[in-house]
Amino acid sequence: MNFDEFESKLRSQPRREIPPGWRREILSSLRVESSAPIAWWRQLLWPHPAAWASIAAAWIAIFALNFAGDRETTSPQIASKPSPDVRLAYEERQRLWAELLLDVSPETRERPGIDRPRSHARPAEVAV
Amino acid sequence: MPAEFDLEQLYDEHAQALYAFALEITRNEADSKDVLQNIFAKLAREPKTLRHVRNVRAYLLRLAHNGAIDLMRRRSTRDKYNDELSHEVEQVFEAANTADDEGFRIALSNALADLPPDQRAVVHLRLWEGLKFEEIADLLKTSLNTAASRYRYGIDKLRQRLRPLYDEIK
Repeated sequence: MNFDEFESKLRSQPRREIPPGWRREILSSLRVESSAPIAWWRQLLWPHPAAWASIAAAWIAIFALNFAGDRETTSPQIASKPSPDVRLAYEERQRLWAELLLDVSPETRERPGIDRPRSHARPAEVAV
Repeated sequence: MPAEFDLEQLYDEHAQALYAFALEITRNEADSKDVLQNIFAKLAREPKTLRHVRNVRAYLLRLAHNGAIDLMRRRSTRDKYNDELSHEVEQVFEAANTADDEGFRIALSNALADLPPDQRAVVHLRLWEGLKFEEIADLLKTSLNTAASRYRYGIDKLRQRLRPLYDEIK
């Protein structure tokens, strides 16, 4: 670097010193800043924030797939009508229940006045 | 502190240069402090900032330059008011022991203050930071020729203005 005499004279003029109190002031303000909640999060995730973000994304994907899978397996059952076989079986069962209930209706029950040995006594009511 | 570097060490190594440069541009001590504070706050916030930086000093000086220019733009109203008080510009040199030296430093400080900010920045970086024109051009995002010519214009103005004093104390 070639400076002439005048430039060298300028270069030799000492610049004003930085106020000594600034060091503590500036650096301590940074410490306060870094202890704030956001900085705390940064500190927690440091030094691999991308890795943490990837893990979070993977969990979200797993939950999303899980939720979608549940919907696929349950919704067709809710939406579809019962097959004719199932309906027939259901109607048959209803009919059997109706007959069974009719069997224990007041007309078909044994009258209470008939003598019979106590050992043959049957409960008057049928628990259904 | 979540940093890949020691902020205190960075401060000790570069704060003086950053302060001098910021003071040269802003001509205001409070503004220079803001510039410095913003730079170190950025470094504390973004510890990766310096990861791929080869010349830390040059990078920090660029931050100081950008910060100082932004600050001056934002405070243009106040600066207009300060222009009226331009004779009371902040001195950028240490006080001298002799009256002649003191007079020269004050004259130099005022002459620098009267240079356009672009020329002032180049003159400062060349003389007091000892940067090459390539480095200055890179730092100020300008061409090599522009940096060199700004320096030449700036030095010529200073020479013209300070010649009587300089000849006297030489």
